[in-house]
Amino acid sequence: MEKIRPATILLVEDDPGDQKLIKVSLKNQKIANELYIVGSGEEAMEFLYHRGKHSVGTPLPDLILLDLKMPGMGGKEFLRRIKQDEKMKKIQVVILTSSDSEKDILDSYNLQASGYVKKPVELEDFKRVVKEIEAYWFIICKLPPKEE
Amino acid sequence: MMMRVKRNSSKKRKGILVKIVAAMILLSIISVAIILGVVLNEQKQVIESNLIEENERLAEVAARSIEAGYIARLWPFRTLNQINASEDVLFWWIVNPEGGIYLADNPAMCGKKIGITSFEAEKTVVEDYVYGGEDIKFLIQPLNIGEPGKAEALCVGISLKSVREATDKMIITGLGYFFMIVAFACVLSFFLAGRLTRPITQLVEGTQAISRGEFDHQVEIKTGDEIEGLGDSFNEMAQRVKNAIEEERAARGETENIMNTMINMLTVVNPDGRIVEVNKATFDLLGYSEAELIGMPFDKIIAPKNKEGGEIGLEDLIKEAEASIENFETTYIAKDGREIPVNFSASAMKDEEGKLRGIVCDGGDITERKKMEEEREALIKDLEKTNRKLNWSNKELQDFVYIASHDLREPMRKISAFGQLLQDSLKGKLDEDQQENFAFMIDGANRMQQMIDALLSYSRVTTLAKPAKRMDLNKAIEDIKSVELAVLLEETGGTIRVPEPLPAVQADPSQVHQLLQNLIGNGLKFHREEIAPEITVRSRRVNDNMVQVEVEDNGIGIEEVNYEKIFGMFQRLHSSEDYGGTGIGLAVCKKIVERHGGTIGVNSAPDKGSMFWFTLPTITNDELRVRGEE
Repeated sequence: MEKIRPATILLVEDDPGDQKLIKVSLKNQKIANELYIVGSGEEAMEFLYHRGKHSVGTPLPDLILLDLKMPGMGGKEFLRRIKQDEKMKKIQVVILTSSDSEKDILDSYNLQASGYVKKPVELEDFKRVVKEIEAYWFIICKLPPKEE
Repeated sequence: MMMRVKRNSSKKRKGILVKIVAAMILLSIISVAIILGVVLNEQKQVIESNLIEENERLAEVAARSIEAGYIARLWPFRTLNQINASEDVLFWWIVNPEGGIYLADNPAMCGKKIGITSFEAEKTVVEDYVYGGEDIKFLIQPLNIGEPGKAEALCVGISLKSVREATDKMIITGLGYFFMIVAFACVLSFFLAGRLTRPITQLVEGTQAISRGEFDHQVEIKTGDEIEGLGDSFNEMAQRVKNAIEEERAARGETENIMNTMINMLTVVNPDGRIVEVNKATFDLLGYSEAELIGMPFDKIIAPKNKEGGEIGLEDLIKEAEASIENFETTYIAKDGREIPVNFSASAMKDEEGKLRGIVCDGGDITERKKMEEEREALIKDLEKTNRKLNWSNKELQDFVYIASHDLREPMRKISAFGQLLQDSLKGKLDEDQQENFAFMIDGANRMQQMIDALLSYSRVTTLAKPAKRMDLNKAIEDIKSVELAVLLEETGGTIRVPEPLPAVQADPSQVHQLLQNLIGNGLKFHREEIAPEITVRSRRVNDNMVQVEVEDNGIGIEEVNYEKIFGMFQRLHSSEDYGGTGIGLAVCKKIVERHGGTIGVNSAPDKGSMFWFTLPTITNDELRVRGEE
């Protein structure tokens, strides 16, 4: 078994409650990870392209947890843009949203989302789902090599 | 034409009478004149000859006296004077054979010649003679005196005055008779001619009466001759004509009656385009009088428009009428300019040779129908408008419910999640009362969450509706048994029976699936204590298009007062402690069934179980056959 390198997760979520819930859910995990949180699509773009307040420079994330309904640039528009960028398109994007409309699901996969998860109502379920997503992507799946 | 005939006939009638009367009068005048002439002449002759005869006798007596006196050489002057005494004798002369007078009553005449010689012996001669400018008779009586062979004669002049007087008298009397007879003849001829011409006059009058249309006129001729026969024939003819005309009139009256009782406007147009016949409906509806319409050009009352909207002239009308026009919507124009929409039909009338005699035009007033059509259209438009508005507001409402419930869900999820987080972090730090309060709060948030989900699923019946397609109910029930309700079946120990295969329905499969799941789920859920639920699903055909599905259970049942109530939103008959759920299930069922054009209901009694039934459109036999062929 290879050495598990620290995983980097970018959470794109405008709701502070959900930000906290996800953060709480990712704590107490055995996997060493780094979680970055941005509140909008625009901020996520700044984060990825090292602009604005994110110009300090952080490595590209391995996984993006993306909310769909956000003010300003929504999740779908953000997804469309990074999938058009050669450098960014290898990043796995999992949609984590409260919507379960068929249209949203279909649109997301058409925009090459790697997965679509509906935020569970119950806290325990929510925690479990977030943990399982982490485990799936960082333990079961092999991710593209990280650029130095 | 008729006037002339009339005048001729009256003239002729007068002529006959005048001619007959004139002829009769003329005839009587001529005959009476001839008779009178003959009689008068005869009488005149008789009188004359009597006169002459009487004077001959007198002359003979005188001659014998002269002869006797001659022998005695005495002239019998007494006798001779006797002659002279006669009123009729004008003179007497004794003449020698040479015609010389030698003795006369008037001595002045002696020696004169009379111009007549050689008297015949023994024979008295009477001759016409003019004496003193007067026609007289000259009587020569030979005398046997003197020398033998040389006769001397006694000549007596006889006046015809008495004869003339008698004749004049007779003429006057005769004329009197003549005029009397002629007058009588006139009267008689008038009477006779009148009698003769009266039957003829009667016949003439009869003919005139019939020509005037008085077919009841009968002539009464009782002359007993050919004219009476003619009169009888005339009466018979008149009767026949009368019968024929009455028959025709009756037939015509019937036609007119039919025409006039017709509600449609019937107009007969001649080939020149003029109206020749109309019925009552036409002049009633158009406001013209019958007299005004007759002879009027037809295009004055009709504004025919063909299908392209252009006008059609008379030629077109005739041309089209040849093939007959039927149910053509056009307009009649009334006297006051009003436009009357009519359903127009026309057909050509032809004679035996196929020549156009006229066009029968039929116009049915469709004002009411038009008005109704317009009203209906306006109503439909109104309805469509209202419908659009309703649909719009309905859609708005649905969107609202969907969006509202969707957006409400997020904060509720937060309340619930952070409540639990807080509860976890405060574990062991709260007393029992505080823990209970916390539990109530979280439970409330959870139930709110469920209700929002229920509301969402209710609104999704329309927002997420799919088109209907063929659906197998048996398979749906199998799926429900093995998937959605598997846990509940196990928990309750319930059974689901489908004794007869269910028919296929034409419906939105996911919704009907939901419907069956809700109803069967209810049956399992609301079971009586200690009694395992038994669900039976049956079906029966309502008609060709609908099928009724019945879901029967042996559960706690429902009171009749609640039959309606249970289908309302969030209607619960039991506390959530006894039976869980939000109370939206049956409302969703009702909405699903009604969206498919069906109805839903329940028959139940407490502790006797419930039978929920609903109807759905089914696949018709035809559709099945088509599918079978596929």
